[in-house]
Parts: sequence; C-alpha cells; structure tokens
Amino acid sequence: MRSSIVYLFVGFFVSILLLIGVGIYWYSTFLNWKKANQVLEHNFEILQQTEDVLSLLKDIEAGERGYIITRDWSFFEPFQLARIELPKQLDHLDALMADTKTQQNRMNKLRLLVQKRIYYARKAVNAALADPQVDPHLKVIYMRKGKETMDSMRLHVHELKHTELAKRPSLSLHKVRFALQSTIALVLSFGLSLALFIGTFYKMVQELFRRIKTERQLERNLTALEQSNQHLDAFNYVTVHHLQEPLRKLNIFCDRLQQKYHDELPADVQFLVQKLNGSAVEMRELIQDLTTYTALGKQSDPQEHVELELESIVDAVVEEYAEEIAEKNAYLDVEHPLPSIIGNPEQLRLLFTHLLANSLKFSKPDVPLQIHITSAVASGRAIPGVIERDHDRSFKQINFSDNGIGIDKKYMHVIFELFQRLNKDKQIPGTGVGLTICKKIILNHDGYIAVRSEPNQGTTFMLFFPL
Amino acid sequence: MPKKTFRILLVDDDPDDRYLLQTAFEESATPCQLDYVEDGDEIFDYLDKHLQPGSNAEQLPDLILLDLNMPKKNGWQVLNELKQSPFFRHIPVVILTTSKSPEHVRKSYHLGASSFISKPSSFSNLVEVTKILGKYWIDVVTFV
Repeated sequence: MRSSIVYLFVGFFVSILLLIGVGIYWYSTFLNWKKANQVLEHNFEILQQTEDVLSLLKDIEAGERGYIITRDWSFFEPFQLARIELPKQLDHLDALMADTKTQQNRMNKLRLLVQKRIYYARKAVNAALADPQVDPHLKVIYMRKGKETMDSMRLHVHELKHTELAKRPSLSLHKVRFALQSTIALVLSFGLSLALFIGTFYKMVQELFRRIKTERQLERNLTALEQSNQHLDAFNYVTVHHLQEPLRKLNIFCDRLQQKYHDELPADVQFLVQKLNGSAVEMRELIQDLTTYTALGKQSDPQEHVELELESIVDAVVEEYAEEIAEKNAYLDVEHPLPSIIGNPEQLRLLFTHLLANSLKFSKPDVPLQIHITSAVASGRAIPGVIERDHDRSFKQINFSDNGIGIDKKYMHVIFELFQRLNKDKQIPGTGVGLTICKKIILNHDGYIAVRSEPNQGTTFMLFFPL
Repeated sequence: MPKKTFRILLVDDDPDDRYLLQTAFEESATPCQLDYVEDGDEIFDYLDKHLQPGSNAEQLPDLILLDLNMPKKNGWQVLNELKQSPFFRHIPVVILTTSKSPEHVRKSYHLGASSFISKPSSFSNLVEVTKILGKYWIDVVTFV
C-alpha cells in the first residue's frame, strides 16, 4: 500500500515537473517563432515598399514622356503626383532599412539618382516646351540622360530587392523550424502527460479497488465477528443452564445417598461418594468462573464507568471475607485514603475479591497472613510490558502485597493465563481462572497488571489505572 | 368443615427434578397432593380437564411450581397464558428454576409470578425449600 502511494506521489510530481518544463520550452519556442515571423513580415514590407518606390519612378518617366509626346497636361499629372509622393515613400523605405548599413548606402545613392532623374525630366520637359527651333536635340539629350539615370536606378532597386529577397529563404526556414519545434514539443508533452496520466490513473483505480476489497473484507470479518460473538453468547447460555444442571443433580443425588443411607454405607463407599460430590462441585465452580470470564468480555463498555472510592470497594470485599480472614488470623493494612478510580463497580469488586481470595489461599500455614494495600503514582515507562503509546501517561498504582508462599520464577509468565493452576496441592481449592479474570478486568479499564514475587517471601500484585 | 387437600402442580420437563422434588416433599412431610405435568402444553390440558362440567373448580391446583427452561413453551409463555386466562389467573405461580439472573427474576415478577426460587444444589436445601413452601402456602396463607 505504501509503495503504491509513493508511486502516485512520484507520478504526479514528475508529470507536474514535465508539464512546467514543456510549458517553458514551448513558450520560448513560441517567442522565437513570433520574432522570426516579425522579421519575415518586415522583409516583406521592405520588398513591397521597394515595389512602390519603383512604381513611382516609373510614373515620373511615364509622365515625362507622355507629356513631351502629346503636350497634354493630363499625361504630366503622374509626374507631379510622383514627385510629391516619392520623398515620403523614400523616407519610409529608409526607415524600414535603418538597421542595415549596405542598404542604407544604396538608399543614399538612390535618393541622389531620384533627384537627378527628376532634374533631367524637368529639363527635358522645359526643353520640349521651349521653341523647338532653339535646339531640337536638347530635349532628346535630357531624355536620354533621364533614361540612363532610370536604368541606374532600376539597377539599384534591383540590388536592393535582391538583397532583401536573399534573406527570405533562411527567414522562412527559421520560422518553419520554430513552428516544427513547438509542434514537436506540444505532441511530446501531450504524449508524456497522457502516458503519465493513464499510468497514475491506473494506479489510483487499482489502489481504490484494493481498498474497496479490503473494506468489504473488513465488513465481512465484522459480520463474522458479530456472529461469533452471538455464538459465544449462546455458548455461555448453554454452559450456564445445561452444563451445570447435571452437576447440580449429581450433587443432590450424592447428598441424598449420604443422608438416607448414612448408617448403612461402608466407609470406603462413603469416601467414594464424597469424592464424586467434590468433583461435581469443582466442575461447577470452574464453569461459573469461565462464565464470569467470558461475560467480562461483553461488559467492557467504558461509557458505563463511574468514579468509585476504592476504599469502600476494598472494605466491602474485606467484610465479605471476614470469616476467612479471622480463620487465618490475617492482618490487613489498607492505606488511608486510597485513591478514587473511574471504572465498573462490579468488576473492581470482583478484582479485589480474587486478589484477596488468592492471598488467603496461598498463605503460609505456619505464619499469620499479612496483606498490605498501598497506592502511588507511576509513569507509563515504569510499568513492565507497557505499550509505547502509554509511555508518557501517568497511572494510579495500587499495590496488593502479601507474605504468602510466593510464586516460583519459572511460572511468572503464565500466572495470568487461563487454567494455570501452579499449585497442584488439592488442599488448596481453585480453578485457575481467578488471575485471568483479574487481568481481563484490568484490560477493561485500560490499565496494566504486574506481579513481583519471591518464593516463600510473598507476592505483590501491582495494578495500574490510567489517571 | 374438614380442610380440603392442598394441591400443588409441578411443571417441569426434567424427570430427575420431578423425582427429587417429590422425594423432598415426602421427606418434609408437607400435607399436600403433588401432581406434575411435563411441559407447557400438558399444563393446559391438565387444567382444562379439571374445569370439565361435572368436576368443579376446587379440583384446580392451589399452587403451581413452574420451571422456566422447558421445551415447546418456556416458563414465561406458560406464566403469561395463565395470567391472561380468566379461569386460571387466580392460581399463584412460584418459579422454580436453575437461573439466578436478576433479569429473569424481574421478568418473572413482571409477568405475575408470586415468588422466584433458585433450585438448590443440595438435597437438604431442597427439603428446606419444600418445608418453607408448605409452611407459607398452606399454614400462613389462606387458601380456598
């Protein structure tokens, strides 16, 4: 799951980088293309302007000749117009070519030639208007000079045009190259982005389907768990009502047998009946403890927890066991006051009942039992087996110590497990469920239980409740 | 007028329990007539038979001891039907069951049970229970 998320992030990051890179490249290509386009347009404008200038020069020549042949002023009109228009057009052309030195030189020469051409045209016209008798050749001379100037001008304009035309193929090529480059960049970026998009999308859909599958699996598991809980409830009911019944009857029948035939039964039969009865009692207690243990799993709703004075709970349990305590000549030292704890009253009572019963059960036969109940505040780190989440939490610690027979080191790790009866001495009654119940109750309260013990010295149970 | 015999009807599917209770009643020498039926259908057959024309209502039981955990109809269904019936609702019903659950106790009283007794696990205690039942329902409480 982690690797596919990393893949998604890398995919998105790379595609964003790629898009930015391609965008920058495409923009610079576009600027170059635009510039090339401008240069080309400029070149085209120069050519156009050159054509215009040439056309005006032709008008001058045409006006001159037309008028001299026909003497009609209307033929002279193009000359007049061109004469006014020419300087403007020349200036414009000049401005267009301001950046090229050789073209500028050509322009200067062209201006001189234009002036010359106009001069000769005027002279020719004046000569034609004057008395033809004066000098019939003068007109022709001027016209010829004018023609020569015109030829020279044509040559100039041609050179000018040729120079500009020569630039065109490379300019066009430039423009085409930029266009091609930007197209390639666009196609490439589109292709790559599409590939990345499809790739990441595929991964995303894959991940989504995987999650949906996991979710469905979880739902199925939850349903299965609920069903299994229901089965467990049903099982509990069965154990309470049906497994205990035959045992109860076994007790009653044994009881009846002993009562009714007390005087007639031989001693060994009485002993056997007693054994039968004892086994039935033991089995019933075991079933009751198991039922209590499984029921604890169900009643662990922290919403129902209330603030409880621990002292009153301990007092109630001590009172309940007053007879056994007196019998064992036990001494109880309970710290005053014990802290209050937020929890389930029945479960906490059960917890101290089992701890006290445990101490009473495993006391040393020759030494009066001493039990000390004290409290402290502990940090999470100090608790054995604490999970990392609870390291920085504080806990109310309750120590329940006795001077009993203690627990052998090799059994320490199993004492909270179900059915671990460490002491096989049949004189000491018990089912091996008590401490498992204690641990379950502590877990229901989000706490910890730990044990410290020395064989023949005593045992201390440490209970930790979150503050 | 001579006192009529106190009739107790035991409703329990378990023959062992029926035997034990019968023996316990004998042991305690409770002056009563103990009849039994095995399930929730049989009890109504029994009661209907004792309401037949010719017989009179005095033949109906004076006390019903009812087990909760039975096949076909459970104890609460039987109790509910009894308390709904105009002919049988006056008969006091004592629940005699293995359960100790407070929920079961509450439900039984809610449905109109007169008492709730958990089956003891020793014979002497069972004899004690029959003695107390006899003492209370025959000697202390007035029956008709």
